[in-house]
Amino acid sequence: MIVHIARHELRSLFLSPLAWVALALVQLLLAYIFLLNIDSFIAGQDELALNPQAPGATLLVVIRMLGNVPTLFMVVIPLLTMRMLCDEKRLHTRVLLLSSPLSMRAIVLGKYLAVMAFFGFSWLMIALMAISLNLGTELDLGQIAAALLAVFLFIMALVAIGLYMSSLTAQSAIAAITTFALVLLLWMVDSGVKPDGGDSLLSHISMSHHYQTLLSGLLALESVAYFLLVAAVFLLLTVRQLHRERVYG
Amino acid sequence: MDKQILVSVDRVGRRYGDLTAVHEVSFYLKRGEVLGFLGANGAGKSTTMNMLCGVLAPTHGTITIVGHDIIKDAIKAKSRLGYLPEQPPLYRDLSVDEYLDYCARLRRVPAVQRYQRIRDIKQRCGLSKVGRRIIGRLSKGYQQRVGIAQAIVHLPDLIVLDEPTVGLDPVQIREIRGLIRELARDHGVILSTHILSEVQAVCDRVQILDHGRIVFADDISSLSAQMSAATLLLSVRKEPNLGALLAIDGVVAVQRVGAMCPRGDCHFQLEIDEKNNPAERVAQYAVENQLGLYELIPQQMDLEQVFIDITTNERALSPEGTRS
Repeated sequence: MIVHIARHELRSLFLSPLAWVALALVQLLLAYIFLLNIDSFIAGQDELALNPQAPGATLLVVIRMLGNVPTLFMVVIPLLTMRMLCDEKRLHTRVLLLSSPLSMRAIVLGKYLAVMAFFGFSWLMIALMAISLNLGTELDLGQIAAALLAVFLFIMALVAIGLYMSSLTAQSAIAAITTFALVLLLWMVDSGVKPDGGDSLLSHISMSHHYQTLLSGLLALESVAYFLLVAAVFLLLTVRQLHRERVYG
Repeated sequence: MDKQILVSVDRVGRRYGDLTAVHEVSFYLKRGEVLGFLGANGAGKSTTMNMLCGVLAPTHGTITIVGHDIIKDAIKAKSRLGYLPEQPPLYRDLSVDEYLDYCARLRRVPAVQRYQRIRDIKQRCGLSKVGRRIIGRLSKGYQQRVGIAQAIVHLPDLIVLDEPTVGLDPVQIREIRGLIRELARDHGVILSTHILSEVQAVCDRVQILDHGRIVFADDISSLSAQMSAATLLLSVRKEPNLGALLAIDGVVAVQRVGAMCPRGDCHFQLEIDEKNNPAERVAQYAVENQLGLYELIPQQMDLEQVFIDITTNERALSPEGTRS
């Protein structure tokens, strides 16, 4: 059942020009950043060669590019998740799902899988771009793997939040803006708390903290768990919201 | 063999905050029956239909579909029903074929039967020629048919149709009614409408819902009986003696219709005792007195009148606040 819903949603996503434009722009912007980084890396070659402690291409090109990914996705993902549940309400197609022999869980997971598959594709393109550098130079593939994992986990959390916001309202614009606001808040909740980067309570709930940890190549269990937990909590909230609508709506 | 009970609804109610949309409603449906739900707009029809199909949870009471509770055993119950809500749940940017395929998957039609089933259903609903068209570009009548096709694609035991003929032209209405009668042969159909003649045309039993309560529930024939004549229209050429008319056995009241005999045609409305119909005696009287009788018509109450009668009577009998 989940697969049927996911298949349908993925198809609907690709039917809308918005999805194609979003996918293309993400790719274009990241490719441009990637090129800029390579350019400045090559320009700084001589200086770097003098310093044995100097960072390599992995850090200066790939990781720097991946550091920009959240900013892009923070804007793009809400635009694609905003319709997932609230359009069903607005166009009255919700009734089709609710009167079919499906559990609420299947509905939410089906839609979640569809958006994940969509951005999984985008993630794959980013990964290929990063690894393509391996043709010219030696990369720290371990760190890159950890960083790509961070990107994927970030997408997982963000899509779940977007889905939940979409379940709360019938206005897609509201779903998009609240998703963006909430993710931005989670991202920068610890900014300026401890400029030395030390540990504080807020940094435990900060997305950027956990993202940076993984990006630095440290496969911290806490950070992986953080993103998975955020995704799980918001998916559960979405299921609950659908149940609530049936009882109170 | 006694016909299987498909749906039983036991004291189901629904509140929206302080507003009680449906009070304790109970009814049942057997296979092969068409049950009509009549009610003014806002009487609670759509709320009842939504609860029946698991879209809304009832505040209290139980709904059982072919033995499965719609809340506790939702998946089994829902696989036995098909629902066309007031607003057809259509994905407007899909083609008819794609849409029905998705619906068939959602309703768990086995993969091997899917293709053939969709073809059959399209034929039944007159959609064979528009399979590849985008739903959003179809006319309202076709969209409504797609809505019905969606509800029957998995051959459910119970089909719930909420105002299926709204916005259709007379020819389409006749087609859809024919389809409903045909479906009722091996399924059970619950139909909600505010058009009384529709109930007369397709339903076996009728329930009238008013302010969230069932105020009338009976066979369609007894609804017709309620409509039978309670008045006679008498038209004569010469002015009769009103006192003498009133004196005829069975005449309860006499009322003049129109002015006093302009150009020699007088019309009277005679209220009569239904159990003691005086039509014959009135005719005899008119002939004996040479009144020039040229019309004596038993007046059928129209459905609208019956409907208003039933709902207003009921309101008078059960004043607000008799909440159980």
